[in-house]
Amino acid sequence: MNDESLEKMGDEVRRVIGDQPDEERRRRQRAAVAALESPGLSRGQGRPSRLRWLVPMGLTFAAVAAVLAWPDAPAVENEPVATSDALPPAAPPVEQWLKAPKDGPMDIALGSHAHGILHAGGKLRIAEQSESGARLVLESGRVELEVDHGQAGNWIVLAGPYEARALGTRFLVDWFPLGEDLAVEVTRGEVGVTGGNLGPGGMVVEAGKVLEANLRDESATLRSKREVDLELSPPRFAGRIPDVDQDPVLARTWASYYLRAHPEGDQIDIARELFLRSFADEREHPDAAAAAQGYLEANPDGPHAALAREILGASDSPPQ
Amino acid sequence: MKLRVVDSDVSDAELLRSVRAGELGASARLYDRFADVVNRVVWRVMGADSEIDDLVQQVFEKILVGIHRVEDPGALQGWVCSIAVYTVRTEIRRRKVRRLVRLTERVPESVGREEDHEGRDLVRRLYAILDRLPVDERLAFALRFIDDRPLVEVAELCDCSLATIKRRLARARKRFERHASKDPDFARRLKQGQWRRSGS
Repeated sequence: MNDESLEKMGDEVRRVIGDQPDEERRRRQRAAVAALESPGLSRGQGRPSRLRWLVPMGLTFAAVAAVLAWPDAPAVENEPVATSDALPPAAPPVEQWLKAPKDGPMDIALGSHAHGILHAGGKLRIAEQSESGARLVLESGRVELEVDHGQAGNWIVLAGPYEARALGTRFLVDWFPLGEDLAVEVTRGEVGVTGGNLGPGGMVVEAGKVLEANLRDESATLRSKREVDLELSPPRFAGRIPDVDQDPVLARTWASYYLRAHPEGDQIDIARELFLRSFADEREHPDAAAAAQGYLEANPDGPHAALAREILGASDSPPQ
Repeated sequence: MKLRVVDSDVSDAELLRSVRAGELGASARLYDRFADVVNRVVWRVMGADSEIDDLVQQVFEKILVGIHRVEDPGALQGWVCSIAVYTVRTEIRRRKVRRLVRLTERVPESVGREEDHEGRDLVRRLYAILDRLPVDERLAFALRFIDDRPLVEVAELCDCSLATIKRRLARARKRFERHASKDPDFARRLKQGQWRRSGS
Protein backbone atom coordinates (compact mmCIF):
# COMPACT_ATOMS: atom_id res chain seq x y z
CA MET A 1 0.00 0.00 0.00
CA ASN A 2 1.75 3.19 -1.13
CA ASP A 3 0.87 6.87 -1.13
CA GLU A 4 -0.51 6.65 -4.66
CA SER A 5 -3.02 3.90 -3.84
CA LEU A 6 -4.17 5.77 -0.72
CA GLU A 7 -4.55 8.97 -2.73
CA LYS A 8 -6.67 7.15 -5.31
CA MET A 9 -8.79 5.79 -2.47
CA GLY A 10 -9.20 9.35 -1.13
CA ASP A 11 -10.23 10.60 -4.59
CA GLU A 12 -12.91 7.92 -4.76
CA VAL A 13 -14.26 8.68 -1.28
CA ARG A 14 -14.45 12.39 -2.04
CA ARG A 15 -16.21 11.62 -5.29
CA VAL A 16 -18.82 9.46 -3.56
CA ILE A 17 -19.57 11.42 -0.40
CA GLY A 18 -18.58 14.93 -1.49
CA ASP A 19 -18.20 17.57 1.19
CA GLN A 20 -21.09 19.92 0.67
CA PRO A 21 -24.52 19.47 2.19
CA ASP A 22 -27.41 19.64 -0.27
CA GLU A 23 -29.79 22.60 -0.11
CA GLU A 24 -32.30 20.90 2.17
CA ARG A 25 -29.63 19.80 4.60
CA ARG A 26 -27.94 23.20 4.47
CA ARG A 27 -31.25 24.88 5.39
CA ARG A 28 -31.65 22.49 8.35
CA GLN A 29 -28.12 23.07 9.59
CA ARG A 30 -28.41 26.83 9.17
CA ALA A 31 -31.66 26.95 11.13
CA ALA A 32 -30.11 24.87 13.92
CA VAL A 33 -27.10 27.18 14.15
CA ALA A 34 -29.29 30.29 14.03
CA ALA A 35 -31.28 28.82 16.93
CA LEU A 36 -28.10 28.84 19.00
CA GLU A 37 -28.18 32.62 18.89
CA SER A 38 -29.05 33.55 22.42
CA PRO A 39 -27.84 36.30 24.72
CA GLY A 40 -24.60 35.24 26.32
CA LEU A 41 -23.70 32.31 24.07
CA SER A 42 -21.50 34.40 21.82
CA ARG A 43 -19.89 36.05 24.81
CA GLY A 44 -18.30 32.86 26.01
CA GLN A 45 -20.87 31.76 28.59
CA GLY A 46 -22.21 28.72 26.77
CA ARG A 47 -25.50 27.06 27.49
CA PRO A 48 -26.89 27.46 31.01
CA SER A 49 -25.36 24.76 33.16
CA ARG A 50 -26.77 22.96 36.12
CA LEU A 51 -23.51 23.93 37.85
CA ARG A 52 -23.89 27.65 37.11
CA TRP A 53 -23.89 28.45 40.84
CA LEU A 54 -20.19 27.51 40.76
CA VAL A 55 -19.39 30.64 38.75
CA PRO A 56 -20.42 33.29 41.32
CA MET A 57 -18.93 31.15 44.08
CA GLY A 58 -15.65 30.87 42.16
CA LEU A 59 -15.59 34.61 41.48
CA THR A 60 -16.13 35.36 45.18
CA PHE A 61 -13.37 32.92 46.12
CA ALA A 62 -11.01 34.46 43.53
CA ALA A 63 -11.75 37.98 44.79
CA VAL A 64 -10.96 36.97 48.40
CA ALA A 65 -7.75 35.25 47.28
CA ALA A 66 -6.72 38.34 45.27
CA VAL A 67 -7.22 40.63 48.27
CA LEU A 68 -5.17 38.30 50.51
CA ALA A 69 -2.37 38.10 47.95
CA TRP A 70 -2.38 41.82 47.11
CA PRO A 71 0.81 42.89 49.00
CA ASP A 72 2.87 40.39 46.98
CA ALA A 73 1.27 41.15 43.64
CA PRO A 74 3.72 42.56 41.07
CA ALA A 75 3.15 46.16 40.10
CA VAL A 76 3.26 45.51 36.36
CA GLU A 77 1.13 42.39 36.24
CA ASN A 78 -0.21 41.70 32.73
CA GLU A 79 1.69 44.66 31.30
CA PRO A 80 4.12 44.06 28.41
CA VAL A 81 7.71 43.61 29.57
CA ALA A 82 9.66 46.81 29.00
CA THR A 83 13.04 46.48 27.30
CA SER A 84 15.84 48.95 26.70
CA ASP A 85 18.95 48.99 24.53
CA ALA A 86 20.99 50.82 27.12
CA LEU A 87 20.30 48.71 30.18
CA PRO A 88 19.75 45.00 30.55
CA PRO A 89 16.01 44.35 30.62
CA ALA A 90 14.44 43.91 34.01
CA ALA A 91 13.36 40.37 34.86
CA PRO A 92 9.61 39.90 34.52
CA PRO A 93 7.86 39.30 37.82
CA VAL A 94 7.48 35.75 39.02
CA GLU A 95 4.10 34.15 38.25
CA GLN A 96 3.29 36.68 35.54
CA TRP A 97 2.07 35.14 32.31
CA LEU A 98 4.10 36.25 29.31
CA LYS A 99 2.74 36.02 25.81
CA ALA A 100 4.93 36.70 22.79
CA PRO A 101 3.29 38.69 20.00
CA LYS A 102 2.08 36.69 16.98
CA ASP A 103 4.56 38.33 14.65
CA GLY A 104 7.78 38.22 16.64
CA PRO A 105 9.76 36.88 19.59
CA MET A 106 9.94 38.29 23.10
CA ASP A 107 13.12 38.54 25.17
CA ILE A 108 13.00 37.22 28.71
CA ALA A 109 15.62 38.54 31.09
CA LEU A 110 16.76 35.85 33.51
CA GLY A 111 19.62 37.53 35.41
CA SER A 112 23.27 37.68 34.40
CA HIS A 113 23.78 33.96 33.67
CA ALA A 114 20.91 33.13 31.40
CA HIS A 115 18.74 34.59 28.71
CA GLY A 116 15.48 33.40 27.21
CA ILE A 117 13.55 34.03 24.01
CA LEU A 118 9.86 33.23 23.81
CA HIS A 119 9.07 32.68 20.13
CA ALA A 120 6.07 34.21 18.33
CA GLY A 121 2.72 33.21 19.81
CA GLY A 122 4.28 31.31 22.74
CA LYS A 123 3.02 31.63 26.30
CA LEU A 124 4.86 30.96 29.58
CA ARG A 125 5.23 32.08 33.15
CA ILE A 126 8.25 32.17 35.44
CA ALA A 127 7.36 30.05 38.46
CA GLU A 128 10.63 30.65 40.34
CA GLN A 129 13.71 32.73 39.70
CA SER A 130 17.04 33.46 41.38
CA GLU A 131 20.54 34.42 40.23
CA SER A 132 21.45 30.72 39.92
CA GLY A 133 18.34 29.34 38.32
CA ALA A 134 14.76 29.64 37.14
CA ARG A 135 11.75 27.44 36.60
CA LEU A 136 9.76 28.37 33.50
CA VAL A 137 6.34 26.90 32.85
CA LEU A 138 5.73 26.73 29.08
CA GLU A 139 2.02 26.63 28.39
CA SER A 140 2.36 26.46 24.62
CA GLY A 141 4.77 27.34 21.84
CA ARG A 142 8.56 27.52 21.72
CA VAL A 143 11.03 28.89 24.25
CA GLU A 144 14.78 29.13 23.72
CA LEU A 145 17.07 29.25 26.73
CA GLU A 146 20.77 30.09 26.80
CA VAL A 147 22.60 29.41 30.04
CA ASP A 148 26.26 30.27 30.67
CA HIS A 149 28.68 27.38 30.84
CA GLY A 150 29.05 26.21 34.43
CA GLN A 151 25.58 27.39 35.46
CA ALA A 152 24.21 23.89 35.50
CA GLY A 153 21.26 22.26 37.07
CA ASN A 154 18.75 24.87 38.15
CA TRP A 155 17.50 26.17 34.82
CA ILE A 156 14.35 24.26 34.13
CA VAL A 157 11.55 24.41 31.55
CA LEU A 158 8.33 22.62 32.48
CA ALA A 159 6.15 21.67 29.49
CA GLY A 160 3.04 19.70 30.43
CA PRO A 161 4.27 16.60 32.27
CA TYR A 162 7.84 17.00 30.95
CA GLU A 163 10.76 18.73 32.64
CA ALA A 164 13.85 19.86 30.69
CA ARG A 165 16.84 20.70 32.89
CA ALA A 166 19.75 22.62 31.40
CA LEU A 167 23.29 21.39 31.95
CA GLY A 168 25.30 24.48 30.83
CA THR A 169 23.68 24.89 27.52
CA ARG A 170 21.59 26.47 24.84
CA PHE A 171 18.38 24.71 23.96
CA LEU A 172 14.84 25.04 22.59
CA VAL A 173 11.66 23.55 23.95
CA ASP A 174 8.52 23.25 21.78
CA TRP A 175 5.28 22.26 23.50
CA PHE A 176 1.98 21.54 21.73
CA PRO A 177 -0.44 21.15 24.64
CA LEU A 178 -3.50 19.91 22.73
CA GLY A 179 -1.53 17.19 20.96
CA GLU A 180 0.59 16.58 24.11
CA ASP A 181 3.68 16.79 21.94
CA LEU A 182 7.19 17.86 23.00
CA ALA A 183 10.38 18.65 21.10
CA VAL A 184 13.67 19.57 22.81
CA GLU A 185 16.51 20.72 20.57
CA VAL A 186 19.97 21.23 22.07
CA THR A 187 22.49 23.52 20.39
CA ARG A 188 25.22 23.47 23.06
CA GLY A 189 25.90 21.38 26.18
CA GLU A 190 23.32 18.88 27.40
CA VAL A 191 19.75 18.86 28.65
CA GLY A 192 18.21 16.21 30.91
CA VAL A 193 14.52 15.64 30.15
CA THR A 194 12.26 13.74 32.53
CA GLY A 195 8.54 13.21 33.08
CA GLY A 196 5.72 12.17 30.78
CA ASN A 197 6.40 8.87 29.05
CA LEU A 198 10.21 9.10 29.36
CA GLY A 199 10.55 6.57 32.15
CA PRO A 200 12.11 7.00 35.59
CA GLY A 201 15.58 8.07 34.40
CA GLY A 202 14.38 10.34 31.59
CA MET A 203 16.67 11.04 28.63
CA VAL A 204 19.77 13.17 28.14
CA VAL A 205 19.83 15.21 24.93
CA GLU A 206 23.30 16.16 23.70
CA ALA A 207 24.27 19.05 21.45
CA GLY A 208 23.12 18.56 17.85
CA LYS A 209 20.29 16.22 18.86
CA VAL A 210 16.52 16.62 19.02
CA LEU A 211 14.25 14.71 21.36
CA GLU A 212 10.66 14.30 20.11
CA ALA A 213 8.20 12.84 22.59
CA ASN A 214 4.45 12.40 22.48
CA LEU A 215 2.40 11.49 25.49
CA ARG A 216 -0.57 10.06 23.58
CA ASP A 217 1.51 7.87 21.31
CA GLU A 218 3.93 7.13 24.17
CA SER A 219 6.72 7.71 21.67
CA ALA A 220 10.16 9.22 22.35
CA THR A 221 12.75 9.57 19.60
CA LEU A 222 16.23 11.01 19.67
CA ARG A 223 17.51 12.11 16.26
CA SER A 224 20.17 14.39 14.85
CA LYS A 225 19.13 17.99 14.28
CA ARG A 226 20.28 17.71 10.67
CA GLU A 227 17.89 14.81 10.05
CA VAL A 228 15.00 16.77 11.55
CA ASP A 229 15.91 19.85 9.48
CA LEU A 230 16.04 17.76 6.30
CA GLU A 231 12.64 16.33 7.14
CA LEU A 232 11.16 19.80 7.61
CA SER A 233 12.73 21.18 4.41
CA PRO A 234 13.39 18.23 2.11
CA PRO A 235 16.02 19.01 -0.52
CA ARG A 236 15.40 18.56 -4.25
CA PHE A 237 17.50 15.61 -5.37
CA ALA A 238 16.75 16.12 -9.07
CA GLY A 239 17.60 12.52 -9.91
CA ARG A 240 20.94 12.55 -8.07
CA ILE A 241 21.45 9.87 -5.45
CA PRO A 242 23.47 11.14 -2.47
CA ASP A 243 26.72 9.41 -1.52
CA VAL A 244 26.03 7.44 1.66
CA ASP A 245 29.69 7.44 2.71
CA GLN A 246 29.97 11.22 2.41
CA ASP A 247 26.60 12.17 3.85
CA PRO A 248 24.64 9.31 5.44
CA VAL A 249 21.85 11.56 6.76
CA LEU A 250 21.18 13.04 3.32
CA ALA A 251 21.29 9.56 1.76
CA ARG A 252 18.80 8.36 4.38
CA THR A 253 16.46 11.22 3.51
CA TRP A 254 16.56 10.28 -0.18
CA ALA A 255 16.17 6.56 0.53
CA SER A 256 13.26 6.93 2.94
CA TYR A 257 11.45 9.17 0.46
CA TYR A 258 12.07 6.72 -2.41
CA LEU A 259 10.96 3.69 -0.38
CA ARG A 260 7.74 5.43 0.56
CA ALA A 261 6.93 6.99 -2.81
CA HIS A 262 8.16 4.29 -5.23
CA PRO A 263 7.85 0.90 -3.52
CA GLU A 264 8.07 -0.78 -6.91
CA GLY A 265 10.46 1.68 -8.58
CA ASP A 266 13.53 0.57 -10.50
CA GLN A 267 15.90 2.00 -7.87
CA ILE A 268 14.24 0.25 -4.94
CA ASP A 269 17.24 -2.01 -4.30
CA ILE A 270 19.57 0.99 -4.16
CA ALA A 271 17.16 2.74 -1.77
CA ARG A 272 17.04 -0.30 0.54
CA GLU A 273 20.82 -0.53 0.56
CA LEU A 274 21.39 3.18 1.23
CA PHE A 275 18.73 3.23 3.92
CA LEU A 276 20.47 0.35 5.69
CA ARG A 277 24.01 1.69 5.25
CA SER A 278 23.00 5.16 6.50
CA PHE A 279 22.60 3.59 9.95
CA ALA A 280 26.05 1.97 9.99
CA ASP A 281 27.26 4.50 12.58
CA GLU A 282 23.86 5.03 14.23
CA ARG A 283 22.74 1.52 15.10
CA GLU A 284 20.58 2.70 17.99
CA HIS A 285 18.52 4.94 15.69
CA PRO A 286 14.78 4.14 15.99
CA ASP A 287 14.56 3.27 12.27
CA ALA A 288 17.75 1.18 12.07
CA ALA A 289 16.12 -2.17 12.87
CA ALA A 290 13.33 -1.60 10.31
CA ALA A 291 15.95 -0.74 7.67
CA ALA A 292 17.88 -3.92 8.47
CA GLN A 293 14.79 -6.08 8.37
CA GLY A 294 13.64 -4.55 5.07
CA TYR A 295 17.03 -5.17 3.52
CA LEU A 296 17.20 -8.79 4.70
CA GLU A 297 13.69 -9.59 3.47
CA ALA A 298 14.61 -8.42 -0.04
CA ASN A 299 18.28 -9.51 -0.09
CA PRO A 300 18.95 -12.25 2.47
CA ASP A 301 22.31 -12.96 0.83
CA GLY A 302 23.06 -9.38 -0.28
CA PRO A 303 26.50 -7.78 0.18
CA HIS A 304 25.29 -5.87 3.26
CA ALA A 305 23.37 -8.70 4.93
CA ALA A 306 26.07 -8.97 7.63
CA LEU A 307 25.57 -5.30 8.57
CA ALA A 308 21.79 -5.84 8.68
CA ARG A 309 22.18 -8.85 10.98
CA GLU A 310 24.55 -6.94 13.25
CA ILE A 311 22.02 -4.09 13.55
CA LEU A 312 19.18 -6.50 14.28
CA GLY A 313 21.33 -8.29 16.85
CA ALA A 314 22.20 -4.99 18.51
CA SER A 315 18.65 -3.65 18.62
CA ASP A 316 16.82 -4.21 21.88
CA SER A 317 13.37 -4.35 20.39
CA PRO A 318 11.86 -5.42 17.09
CA PRO A 319 11.03 -2.63 14.63
CA GLN A 320 7.65 -0.93 15.04
CA MET B 1 -2.23 28.38 11.29
CA LYS B 2 -1.31 28.41 7.63
CA LEU B 3 -4.69 27.31 6.35
CA ARG B 4 -6.48 28.49 3.28
CA VAL B 5 -8.19 31.81 3.64
CA VAL B 6 -11.34 32.22 1.61
CA ASP B 7 -12.38 35.76 2.47
CA SER B 8 -10.46 38.85 3.37
CA ASP B 9 -9.36 39.69 6.90
CA VAL B 10 -11.60 42.73 6.81
CA SER B 11 -14.78 40.70 6.38
CA ASP B 12 -13.63 38.16 8.96
CA ALA B 13 -13.00 41.06 11.33
CA GLU B 14 -16.51 42.36 10.67
CA LEU B 15 -17.99 38.91 11.19
CA LEU B 16 -16.02 38.47 14.40
CA ARG B 17 -17.26 41.83 15.66
CA SER B 18 -20.91 41.14 14.86
CA VAL B 19 -20.88 37.67 16.46
CA ARG B 20 -19.19 38.99 19.59
CA ALA B 21 -21.68 41.84 19.78
CA GLY B 22 -24.51 39.30 19.61
CA GLU B 23 -26.05 41.00 16.57
CA LEU B 24 -29.22 39.47 15.22
CA GLY B 25 -28.45 37.02 12.40
CA ALA B 26 -24.72 36.91 13.17
CA SER B 27 -24.81 33.14 13.89
CA ALA B 28 -26.44 32.47 10.53
CA ARG B 29 -23.80 34.62 8.81
CA LEU B 30 -21.11 32.68 10.66
CA TYR B 31 -22.69 29.47 9.37
CA ASP B 32 -22.82 30.83 5.81
CA ARG B 33 -19.13 31.67 5.98
CA PHE B 34 -17.87 28.45 7.52
CA ALA B 35 -20.47 25.80 6.61
CA ASP B 36 -18.26 24.37 3.86
CA VAL B 37 -15.12 24.31 6.01
CA VAL B 38 -16.87 22.58 8.90
CA ASN B 39 -18.87 20.13 6.78
CA ARG B 40 -15.74 19.17 4.87
CA VAL B 41 -13.87 18.16 8.04
CA VAL B 42 -16.86 16.42 9.62
CA TRP B 43 -17.90 14.50 6.51
CA ARG B 44 -14.45 13.36 5.57
CA VAL B 45 -13.35 12.27 9.02
CA MET B 46 -16.66 10.70 10.05
CA GLY B 47 -17.81 9.51 6.64
CA ALA B 48 -21.30 8.14 6.09
CA ASP B 49 -22.87 9.07 9.33
CA SER B 50 -26.39 9.53 10.53
CA GLU B 51 -25.44 12.16 13.12
CA ILE B 52 -23.58 14.56 10.88
CA ASP B 53 -25.99 17.46 11.28
CA ASP B 54 -25.84 17.17 15.08
CA LEU B 55 -22.06 17.20 14.90
CA VAL B 56 -22.02 20.27 12.66
CA GLN B 57 -24.30 22.00 15.13
CA GLN B 58 -22.00 21.02 18.01
CA VAL B 59 -19.04 22.53 16.16
CA PHE B 60 -20.87 25.82 15.65
CA GLU B 61 -22.00 25.85 19.26
CA LYS B 62 -18.36 25.52 20.37
CA ILE B 63 -17.37 28.24 17.92
CA LEU B 64 -20.00 30.62 19.31
CA VAL B 65 -18.95 29.89 22.88
CA GLY B 66 -15.22 30.29 22.25
CA ILE B 67 -15.10 32.99 19.60
CA HIS B 68 -14.32 35.68 22.16
CA ARG B 69 -10.87 34.08 22.51
CA VAL B 70 -9.95 34.75 18.88
CA GLU B 71 -7.85 37.91 18.82
CA ASP B 72 -6.67 37.89 15.21
CA PRO B 73 -9.41 37.82 12.53
CA GLY B 74 -6.86 36.35 10.12
CA ALA B 75 -6.64 33.28 12.34
CA LEU B 76 -10.42 32.74 12.40
CA GLN B 77 -10.62 30.11 9.66
CA GLY B 78 -7.74 28.06 11.07
CA TRP B 79 -9.31 28.24 14.51
CA VAL B 80 -12.70 27.13 13.14
CA CYS B 81 -11.00 24.18 11.45
CA SER B 82 -9.26 23.15 14.65
CA ILE B 83 -12.55 23.37 16.59
CA ALA B 84 -14.13 21.08 13.98
CA VAL B 85 -11.25 18.59 14.31
CA TYR B 86 -11.45 18.52 18.10
CA THR B 87 -15.23 18.21 18.16
CA VAL B 88 -14.99 15.26 15.80
CA ARG B 89 -12.22 13.76 17.92
CA THR B 90 -14.36 14.01 21.05
CA GLU B 91 -17.28 12.43 19.21
CA ILE B 92 -15.19 9.49 17.99
CA ARG B 93 -13.98 8.85 21.55
CA ARG B 94 -17.53 9.12 22.90
CA ARG B 95 -18.76 6.59 20.35
CA LYS B 96 -15.94 4.19 21.13
CA VAL B 97 -16.92 4.24 24.78
CA ARG B 98 -20.60 3.82 23.95
CA ARG B 99 -19.79 0.91 21.69
CA LEU B 100 -17.71 -0.66 24.45
CA VAL B 101 -20.65 -0.63 26.80
CA ARG B 102 -23.01 -1.41 23.88
CA LEU B 103 -25.21 1.61 24.37
CA THR B 104 -25.61 2.18 20.64
CA GLU B 105 -25.00 0.47 17.36
CA ARG B 106 -24.28 2.89 14.54
CA VAL B 107 -26.55 2.76 11.55
CA PRO B 108 -24.72 4.42 8.67
CA GLU B 109 -26.82 6.80 6.64
CA SER B 110 -26.91 6.45 2.88
CA VAL B 111 -24.53 8.88 1.27
CA GLY B 112 -23.68 9.91 -2.22
CA ARG B 113 -25.73 9.54 -5.34
CA GLU B 114 -28.67 7.21 -4.90
CA GLU B 115 -27.73 5.07 -7.90
CA ASP B 116 -24.08 4.69 -6.90
CA HIS B 117 -24.49 1.54 -4.82
CA GLU B 118 -20.96 0.35 -5.45
CA GLY B 119 -19.39 3.63 -4.32
CA ARG B 120 -21.56 3.80 -1.23
CA ASP B 121 -20.69 0.22 -0.33
CA LEU B 122 -16.95 0.91 -0.62
CA VAL B 123 -17.24 4.03 1.52
CA ARG B 124 -19.18 2.10 4.16
CA ARG B 125 -16.47 -0.57 4.24
CA LEU B 126 -13.71 2.05 4.39
CA TYR B 127 -15.22 3.81 7.41
CA ALA B 128 -15.82 0.46 9.11
CA ILE B 129 -12.04 -0.04 8.90
CA LEU B 130 -11.34 3.52 10.12
CA ASP B 131 -13.65 2.87 13.09
CA ARG B 132 -11.12 0.30 14.27
CA LEU B 133 -8.16 2.71 14.36
CA PRO B 134 -7.21 4.61 17.54
CA VAL B 135 -8.79 8.06 17.47
CA ASP B 136 -5.62 10.10 16.87
CA GLU B 137 -4.48 7.75 14.11
CA ARG B 138 -7.89 7.89 12.46
CA LEU B 139 -7.88 11.69 12.54
CA ALA B 140 -4.41 11.93 11.02
CA PHE B 141 -5.21 9.29 8.38
CA ALA B 142 -8.52 10.86 7.37
CA LEU B 143 -7.14 14.41 7.22
CA ARG B 144 -4.14 13.27 5.17
CA PHE B 145 -5.59 10.74 2.75
CA ILE B 146 -9.32 11.44 2.60
CA ASP B 147 -9.34 15.19 3.13
CA ASP B 148 -6.11 15.40 1.08
CA ARG B 149 -4.37 17.92 3.32
CA PRO B 150 -0.59 18.39 3.26
CA LEU B 151 1.37 16.91 6.17
CA VAL B 152 2.21 20.30 7.66
CA GLU B 153 -1.49 21.21 7.82
CA VAL B 154 -2.40 17.85 9.35
CA ALA B 155 0.28 18.42 12.02
CA GLU B 156 -1.12 21.88 12.76
CA LEU B 157 -4.70 20.66 13.02
CA CYS B 158 -3.66 17.81 15.33
CA ASP B 159 -1.41 20.22 17.31
CA CYS B 160 1.67 18.04 16.85
CA SER B 161 5.13 18.30 15.38
CA LEU B 162 5.67 17.08 11.83
CA ALA B 163 7.73 14.18 13.16
CA THR B 164 4.93 13.02 15.44
CA ILE B 165 2.33 13.20 12.70
CA LYS B 166 4.58 11.18 10.38
CA ARG B 167 5.04 8.47 13.01
CA ARG B 168 1.32 8.47 13.71
CA LEU B 169 0.50 8.16 10.01
CA ALA B 170 2.99 5.33 9.58
CA ARG B 171 1.31 3.43 12.42
CA ALA B 172 -2.16 4.25 11.06
CA ARG B 173 -1.23 2.94 7.61
CA LYS B 174 0.05 -0.33 9.03
CA ARG B 175 -3.07 -0.79 11.11
CA PHE B 176 -5.31 0.22 8.22
CA GLU B 177 -3.57 -2.25 5.92
CA ARG B 178 -3.93 -5.03 8.51
CA HIS B 179 -7.66 -4.43 8.97
CA ALA B 180 -8.20 -3.95 5.23
CA SER B 181 -6.60 -7.33 4.52
CA LYS B 182 -9.58 -8.96 6.26
CA ASP B 183 -11.77 -7.64 3.44
CA PRO B 184 -10.07 -9.25 0.41
CA ASP B 185 -12.07 -7.36 -2.23
CA PHE B 186 -11.34 -4.02 -0.57
CA ALA B 187 -7.65 -4.92 -0.12
CA ARG B 188 -7.35 -5.90 -3.78
CA ARG B 189 -8.90 -2.65 -4.97
CA LEU B 190 -6.70 -0.69 -2.59
CA LYS B 191 -3.59 -2.40 -3.91
CA GLN B 192 -4.56 -1.99 -7.55
CA GLY B 193 -5.97 1.50 -7.07
CA GLN B 194 -9.04 0.36 -9.01
CA TRP B 195 -12.24 1.45 -7.31
CA ARG B 196 -14.62 1.25 -10.26
CA ARG B 197 -15.63 -1.98 -11.92
CA SER B 198 -15.20 -1.79 -15.66
CA GLY B 199 -18.23 -0.29 -17.31
CA SER B 200 -19.57 1.40 -14.18
